[in-house]
Amino acid sequence: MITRGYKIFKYTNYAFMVFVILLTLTPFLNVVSMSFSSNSAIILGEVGIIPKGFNLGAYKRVLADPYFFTGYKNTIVYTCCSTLVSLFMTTICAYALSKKRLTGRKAIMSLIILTMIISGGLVPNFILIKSLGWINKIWAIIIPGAISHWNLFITIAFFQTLPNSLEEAAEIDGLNPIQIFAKIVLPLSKPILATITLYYAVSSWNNWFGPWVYMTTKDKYPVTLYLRSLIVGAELAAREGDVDAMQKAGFSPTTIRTATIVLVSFPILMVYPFIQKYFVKGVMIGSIKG
Amino acid sequence: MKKKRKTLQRIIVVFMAVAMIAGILAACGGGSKQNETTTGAEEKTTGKAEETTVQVPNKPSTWVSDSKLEVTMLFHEEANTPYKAEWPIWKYIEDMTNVKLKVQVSPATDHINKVKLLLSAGSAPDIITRIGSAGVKYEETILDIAPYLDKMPNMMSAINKFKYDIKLMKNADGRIFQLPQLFEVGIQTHALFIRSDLRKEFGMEVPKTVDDLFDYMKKCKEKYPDSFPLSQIWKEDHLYYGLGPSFGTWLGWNVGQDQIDISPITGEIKHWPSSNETREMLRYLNKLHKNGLIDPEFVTQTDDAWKNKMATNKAFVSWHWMGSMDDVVKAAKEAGNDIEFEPVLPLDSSVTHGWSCKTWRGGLVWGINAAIKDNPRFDDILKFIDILYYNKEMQERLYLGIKDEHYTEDTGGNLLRAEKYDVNKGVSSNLIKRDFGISLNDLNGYREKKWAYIDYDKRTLDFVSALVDSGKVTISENVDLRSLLTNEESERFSVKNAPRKEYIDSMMLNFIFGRNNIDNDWDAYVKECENKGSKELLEFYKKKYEEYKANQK
Repeated sequence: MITRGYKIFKYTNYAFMVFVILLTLTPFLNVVSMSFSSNSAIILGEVGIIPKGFNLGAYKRVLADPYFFTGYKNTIVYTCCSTLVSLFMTTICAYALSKKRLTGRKAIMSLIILTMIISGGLVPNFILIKSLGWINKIWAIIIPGAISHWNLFITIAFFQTLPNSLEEAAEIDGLNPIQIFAKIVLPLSKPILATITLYYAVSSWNNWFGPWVYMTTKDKYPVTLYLRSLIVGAELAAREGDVDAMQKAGFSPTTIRTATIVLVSFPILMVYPFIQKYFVKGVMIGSIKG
Repeated sequence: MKKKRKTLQRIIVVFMAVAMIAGILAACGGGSKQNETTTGAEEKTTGKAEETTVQVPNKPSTWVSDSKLEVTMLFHEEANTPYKAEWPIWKYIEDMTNVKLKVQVSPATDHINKVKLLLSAGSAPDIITRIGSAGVKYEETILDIAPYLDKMPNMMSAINKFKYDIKLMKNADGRIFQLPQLFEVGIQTHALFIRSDLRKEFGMEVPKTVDDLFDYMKKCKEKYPDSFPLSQIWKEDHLYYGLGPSFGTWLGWNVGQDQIDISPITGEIKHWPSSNETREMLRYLNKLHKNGLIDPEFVTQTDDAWKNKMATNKAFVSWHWMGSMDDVVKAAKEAGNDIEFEPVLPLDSSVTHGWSCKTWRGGLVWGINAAIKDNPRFDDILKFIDILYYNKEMQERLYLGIKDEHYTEDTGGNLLRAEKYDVNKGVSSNLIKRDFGISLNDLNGYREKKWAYIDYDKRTLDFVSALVDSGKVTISENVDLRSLLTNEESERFSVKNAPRKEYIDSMMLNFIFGRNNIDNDWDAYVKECENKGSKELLEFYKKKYEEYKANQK
């Protein structure tokens, strides 16, 4: 029986959640509406969540730049390749390390933890990548950092929850370890695979630092580096007296920035609702057993 | 047995950890080894500066490489003029010199860090732009060009033509690590802006002194009681940059992090934040605060917040660059608020020595990777750099473009952009840069007076003329005191710079907003600055500067 108190709680809860949704959604809607507004409306503070002085000038300006599309293509390529390589390397590494019978397991785990604390530094890493001949090549983006400590540990923890009896039964049936991994373990590991895929994909999508360090030509830059250059660089230029008259054209550094933010974050926003449940599950993996 | 195995495991782990750390430490020392070949520069130690007498040729020379040569460049990419591989200037350079300029793009946002990384890793290109601010150890990585000035006849010719003091290029020991931009004139486009419509409404003349400005702002406050007439953008350093010279002090953008510099007027070296001139400036700003004339939010506000205040009668006075108020005026007019801003010539005060602002005729911009000394075509690379930056014909093409296509010359000898790129028609000066790569600052080493005016509209040029006619502009051509320090000295003193600046920034704001009293608390503030290293560094700079002047004789 639904009591009156419960109803009050329920509707108060709904109201509170709507408030939280508006609180988190409003800044984003403001960014989107600014990207479609005129510079004058922004200066006058007239833009809220609805655009004012609607114009597509900022989008035309951004989309007219061929390096935007080149950057987008690069981001997609880097994200797909990085995610696949990271997924492969993380799962095989985690599967091996999930077996307590692995000789030297503790030593290997200790070394992995050690690398979380100590890093070689940027210059030695650069020299290493250069000596491998990977400067301005996609491998410099994919291989360094291919295995994330956090993702490795949660994958190990997940594999350890799988019953040994399944693998023993498969072994009795004549499967070798690689076949067991591919045909038994991986199909059961969809939740963790989806989780770490999401983590790697988002991390790779947002990554601008690696390309900035290792890429020497602009046609290899991802769109995030393009965005950073646009947002931060425009203010630096303005401080040095480089007053770009795009303001006179009806758009401004603000509208260009917001338009680029929308264009860059749009794909992630479209994909995220479908994989959100895996994201939540992933956060809980490793903390709840049984 | 189990115990023995655990002990063994522990030993293995400790051994591998030690090996890893040792490997890291060994790698950290690896960067400098990449530049071992620069011993030519490293052998030179401090001592009397060499007098560099160079036989200046009668006219600049041109040169074409007799076989294909590739020279690499780290290109500083501005946000408003993003790099394009298809710019025709690259082909022009190759056609004129038979040298392919291979460009590595470095966005302006992180250029300094990129320079440091590439030099540390021994992977820097041959030419490095905007090296001055990178603070790298030049002796190990950057070529000292002092012994090779005879290989750069175009640069030496331009130095003579524009009467540039070559000593400004030199360190205390006579070495030259950076190539200059050589401009015939310096153009200052930073100004104080006030609402001209209000000034006329009040029946006031254009302010000539800081007291006139105070009176004007009082009138604005009377008309708009909720306003704070003076509102600045980009924090207090920008305010000090604009207002400081009126009080004879050099702060903010006018000075480096250690805030010690030579006055371009009096030649004095001072720690400017603790000078009497700064005290008077802070007294004036405190007076503005007491009268509600300065925006209390100016230190933290965003660009858009500032523009909003200027467009909606919440602020009326600000220092800024020419052209920066245009979108504010446009927005206000669209809202039915018919406003106008006018630039004001630098103001005098009771402290001023009759000057007001300084500008620069270019700066020290490019460095050459010391590793090119091992290149068998070292001489050719130097010749190419000389042609690229200082040959008049090359620079004409790179800066002005093609005559009758990108610019024309009228009967009075004035240069005008083609109509599509004419800044007087509201077109951005960046448009021609974006389309053709013409007029890029980082490729411009030589600029004659009449070239300089081509990318400024009439309004700006009128202001520049008025500024020059007022006699209030001083060309700042003193040596950079930082260049007089060795790397060890620089590292020793720089440790205290950041905490001292942090203290000074907060105290100056306290004086402005009345949290500290300018009379009662000033001496304690100066003493604390000295405790934080200002006096020690000041005395050291004075000593080094005297040595430098003695060496120049």
